[in-house]
Amino acid sequence: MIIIPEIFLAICSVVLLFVSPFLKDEGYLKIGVLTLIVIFLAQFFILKDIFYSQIIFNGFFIVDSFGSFLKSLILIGAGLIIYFYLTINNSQSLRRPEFSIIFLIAVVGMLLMISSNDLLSLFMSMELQSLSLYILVSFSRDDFISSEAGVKYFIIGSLSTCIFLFGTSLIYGLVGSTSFNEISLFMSELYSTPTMLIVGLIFILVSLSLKISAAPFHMWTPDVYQGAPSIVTTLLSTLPKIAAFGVLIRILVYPFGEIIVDWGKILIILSITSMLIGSLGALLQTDLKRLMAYSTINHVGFILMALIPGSEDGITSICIYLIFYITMNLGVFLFILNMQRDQVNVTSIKDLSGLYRSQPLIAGCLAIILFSMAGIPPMAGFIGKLIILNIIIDNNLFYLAIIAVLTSVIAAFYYIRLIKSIFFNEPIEELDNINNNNSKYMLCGFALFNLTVVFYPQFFLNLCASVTLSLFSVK
Amino acid sequence: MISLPILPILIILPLIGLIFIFLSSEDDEHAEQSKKSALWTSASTFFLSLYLPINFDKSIPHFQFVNTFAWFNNDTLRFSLGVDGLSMPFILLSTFLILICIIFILPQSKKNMKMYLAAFLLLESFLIGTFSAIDLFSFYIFFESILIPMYLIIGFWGGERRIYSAYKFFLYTLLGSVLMLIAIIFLYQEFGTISIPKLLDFTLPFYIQVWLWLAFFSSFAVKIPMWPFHTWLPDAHVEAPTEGSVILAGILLKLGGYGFIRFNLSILPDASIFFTPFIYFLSVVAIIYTSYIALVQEDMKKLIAYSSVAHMGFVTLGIFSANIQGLHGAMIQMISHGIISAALFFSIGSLYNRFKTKEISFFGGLNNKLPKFSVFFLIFTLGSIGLPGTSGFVGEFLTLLAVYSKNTMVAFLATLGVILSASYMLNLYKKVFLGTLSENFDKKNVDVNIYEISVYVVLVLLVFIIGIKPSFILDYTTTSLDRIIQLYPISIF
Repeated sequence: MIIIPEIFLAICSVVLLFVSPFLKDEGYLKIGVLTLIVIFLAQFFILKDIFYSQIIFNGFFIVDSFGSFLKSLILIGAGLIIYFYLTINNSQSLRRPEFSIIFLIAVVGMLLMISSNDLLSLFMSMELQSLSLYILVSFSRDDFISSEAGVKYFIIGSLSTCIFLFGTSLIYGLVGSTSFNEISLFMSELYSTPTMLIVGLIFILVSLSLKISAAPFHMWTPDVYQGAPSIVTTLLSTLPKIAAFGVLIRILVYPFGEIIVDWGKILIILSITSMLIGSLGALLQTDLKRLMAYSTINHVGFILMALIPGSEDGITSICIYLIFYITMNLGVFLFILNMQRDQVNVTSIKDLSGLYRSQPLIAGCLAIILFSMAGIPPMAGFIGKLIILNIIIDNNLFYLAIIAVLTSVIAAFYYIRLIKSIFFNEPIEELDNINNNNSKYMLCGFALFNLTVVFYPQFFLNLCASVTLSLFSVK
Repeated sequence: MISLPILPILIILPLIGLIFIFLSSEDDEHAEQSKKSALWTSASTFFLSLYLPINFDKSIPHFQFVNTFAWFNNDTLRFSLGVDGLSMPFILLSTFLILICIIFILPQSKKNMKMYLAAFLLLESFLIGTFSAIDLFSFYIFFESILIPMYLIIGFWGGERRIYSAYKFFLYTLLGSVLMLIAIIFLYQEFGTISIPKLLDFTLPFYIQVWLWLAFFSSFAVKIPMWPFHTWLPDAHVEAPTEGSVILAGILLKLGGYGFIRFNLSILPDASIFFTPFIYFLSVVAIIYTSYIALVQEDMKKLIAYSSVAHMGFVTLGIFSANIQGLHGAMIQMISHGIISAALFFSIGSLYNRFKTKEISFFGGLNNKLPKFSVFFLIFTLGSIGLPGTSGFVGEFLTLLAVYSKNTMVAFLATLGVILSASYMLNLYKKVFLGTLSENFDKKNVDVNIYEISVYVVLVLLVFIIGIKPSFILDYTTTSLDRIIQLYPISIF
């Protein structure tokens, strides 16, 4: 029973669902705490067998250390987000026990996505994840914008599903199986790649690009990020991205590793457009959450770039970048969650003006995280970018490296603009002070992490290198 | 030799002061306690940095006081620190200028004084790191990190258009240096090492050198700055607070010259020969064109900023003439400009503190009102022109000598710059200090205070010491620079 964490989480979510109606007042807090405990236990199960590797359920799922690593990353992120949810001042519509439970189901979906070893099981778990996320995005059901975002996300998500299924059926038609092992076997016996197979792969890639919001499939991102409740945006910008990248890496490296020439070109286009749109699109944004959406697109482009060589080093660097990306994003969103004026959440960039005057500590921490996002040394973001650029230049993709650094300068412009508002602008109306000590300490923690990574990058390098080994040993 | 890890200590010491400043709970505009800790920290850093020249072995061209630290778990990727004759004077210049900046700040009051001092200490740590880094990655990390405190100094404590200038400064320099990052990673991939001394043993094919040279050039040409990449400098100078301008002109510009010698000239010699005419062209244009622009400036700081670009033109001429006089000239010119422009910015700061303006037309006949101050200013003016006996003369003379041996025409044109610099600097002095007393000064204005006198006296002494006995610096640099010249192929330019 190696897939224990997923089963455990699924059972627990059902149990919590049954328990929740019987809790009287403040039920959402109790369920939230229970969810946190459950996530913690699941984390324990995963870490116990992190170096274990096995194919289970007749090749439906695979457990390996690469997957376990990403899963534990997701669970850490999930734990932090639930913790945020419990400690911040939520609006009334979010104070429902269902929130944590649906959240938990989404996490189960993500974990299953990462362990999928078959297009069918992948589809199934992806749906589990997406359906839960649709609900979460439109969770503030009285809020018009939230509902609109939910509908948008649902439509795009279903489109992505259709495209995925179509690609799957094409591949099934050629290979006669949906299992990754069979596809891999089929590919290795071919002399020339049938065009239909590539078309099928392109469909799957498009579908996954919609999930990771790589341009030109990014259109939904800013709207959904802005419309969804901030806590859900925090979730959207971090965890599903990890899961989708896990799937993308697994599909491209393992069954389709033979046709790297074909998907490499597609990834080049995807990453260049993502970096360009992610950096240029954000320049004129006035809403912090929309800006974060474009920032996500930019980062996604950067991460995709490292996948182009399809090498072990490249995937190691992706894992490292994901760790840093999550800490940066969670840091910024933790601040956005606490951004209130007169007890009402605000998310406009203008509201940041003069934050330094009223809350120097918070402003300093936020500035460190933003500098890190811009990739200014000596912050963590720079180390991540350095490692990825290293891979790119190692593979002689100079033009890509030049585009990457130039777009990161453009991206630096808007991060610097935020820092400008925080430090240099005169305050218009001051934000409420963040009295929430939990959030304060967490924000300091994220900033400190981003600041000090430069002293021990080898820890992350060794960790990620040891887990990606498993991905290549399957072949 | 005693194995005191002097360079890491010098880098960490300002950071310790930084912690003390953050720990003090005071939050007013004077922040006496923070001033004290900043003064102590910077003073001890400066005196500790004197350890370098005292224990420096002048006969060794290689890096000394080398310390390496594991970074990535890999033998090739290590942080290494060390100094040679090229970088040592700059470390001393940094610690010295930061110290006198802090002394100059002492009598002032500013909003958020605590953070202001903290930013300078942070800057000091990064500057020492940049000059003592002898591997590519740590050089880049320190080099880029400098942007953060400098951005905050300009943007937070600057003048009216501070935000625009801070932006411009940040993005210009960032844009230049990201291309250098690619070149650095390429060098690492090509040779499997990031250690600068080891890179000197390799040679690259010419066409690769050209690209790498351009990448490094894009970073250092913006930093130094060369015409036509100089447009950020006048803005940044005008808007930066006095001490920010001092550090900007005094040290940050030298990073460009230092980088040119350290990377372009040493690691990529063939491409340097190829691009020498290009550099000559840009430098001559910078010297003449910006001098003319300086002539018509109405803002004192802007005038000095343009004159900086012209002076840096001499530095690039000296560096790329690639003989020993040229490098010596460039070194002396950089150090001397570091001192003189710092002094001029301090002087303008003093005037600004008294009269709250930097407009030249506002002043006139000031030598009646501030006699001591006007003497100091005259000395710095003459130093900036390059009067024999001052440090400016040595730098320009050696540079022109070197260029003359390579290309007479360029030397002739560059000499015009000397005349022009005399005209704009003397013009400035005339308008501000001579003539009849402008009626703007009915109020009682005090002459220099004790802090200012101590700063100016030290600077004046340095101007004369370097001017009369340049070997005071050159003794340390000769062997290292000689080695660079020996490795350099003979060129026709």
